[in-house]
Amino acid sequence: MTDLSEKLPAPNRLVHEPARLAILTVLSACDSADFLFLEQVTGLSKGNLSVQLTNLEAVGLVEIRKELVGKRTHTMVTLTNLGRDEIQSYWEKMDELRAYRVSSLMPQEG
Amino acid sequence: MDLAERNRLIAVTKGFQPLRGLIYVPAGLLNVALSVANSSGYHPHHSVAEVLGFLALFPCAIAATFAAWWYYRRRFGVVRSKCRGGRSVLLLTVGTMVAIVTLVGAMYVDDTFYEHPAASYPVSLTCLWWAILYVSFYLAPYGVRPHSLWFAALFFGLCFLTLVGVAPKSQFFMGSGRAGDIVIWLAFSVHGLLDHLLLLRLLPKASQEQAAAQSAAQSGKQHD
Repeated sequence: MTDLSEKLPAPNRLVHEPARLAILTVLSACDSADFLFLEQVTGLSKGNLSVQLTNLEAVGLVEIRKELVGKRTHTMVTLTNLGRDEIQSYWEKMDELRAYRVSSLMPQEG
Repeated sequence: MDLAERNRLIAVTKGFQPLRGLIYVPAGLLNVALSVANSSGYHPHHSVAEVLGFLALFPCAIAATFAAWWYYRRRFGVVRSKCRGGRSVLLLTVGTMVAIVTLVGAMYVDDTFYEHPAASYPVSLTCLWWAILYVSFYLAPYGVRPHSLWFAALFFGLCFLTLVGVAPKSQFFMGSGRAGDIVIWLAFSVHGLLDHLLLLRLLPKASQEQAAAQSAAQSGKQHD
């Protein structure tokens, strides 16, 4: 029996998680964004966003900088080169999956 | 994540800067006010107070523009686009200068109507300029402003009306205080408002509900 999992492209599970995927997608469309912008655009709660950013920073996909603007601390997040490669690779694989026709994997009868 | 959600995230991120429409509304409304004052024949020259009152419109518009900018910064945060650096700044600067020069040129050519009506081009080049501007608004960023095409169609339509002689071209001289001048700046203000509404619509529902809750909380504090 054909093992479909061997034939289909496998997206990165770390990137695939919805919250992290949303964060990386937003960052891939800009140079950098602050915490508030990511919170507003992704719809994630502050706590969840903070945890996800920490996770992404730990694996080197994003870089977090804290800037002092007046008396306020401004958290700016940037995608690293690795992060850009990973998110681009992820979407390419998802496009492959969409274009991949299941019928082409089915064993031909006869 | 489906494609629609991905496109939404990319559109709101790339389009955030241009979609801050409330920043442009005060400039549009200021010009509407000036056009209305001009069309009614109002000229503030009877007293110093009158002149100062008239001039106060300008700092009010500047203050409103700054307030809008501050609102976006506090409400949505900061996003820095990829188009940064010398080449992008140069392109933006050149593009802005070209736009201003062509607008001034269009207004100058339109104005020759007064001196040489027979030799003047029949179409309102000012309306044509605005139509092309709204087309450029649609094309950048990321094709996310479909309403800009309606405004472009409006001004192309006004061009056509001036071409066939239904609408007098002189109505669209900017700064003339005529009906067309008011239409131009009113459209500019409405377009800015629509940009802002589109930005709000591009937010996820959680952010929209959070914003509504914050507004309700602030209204409640004011009543207390």
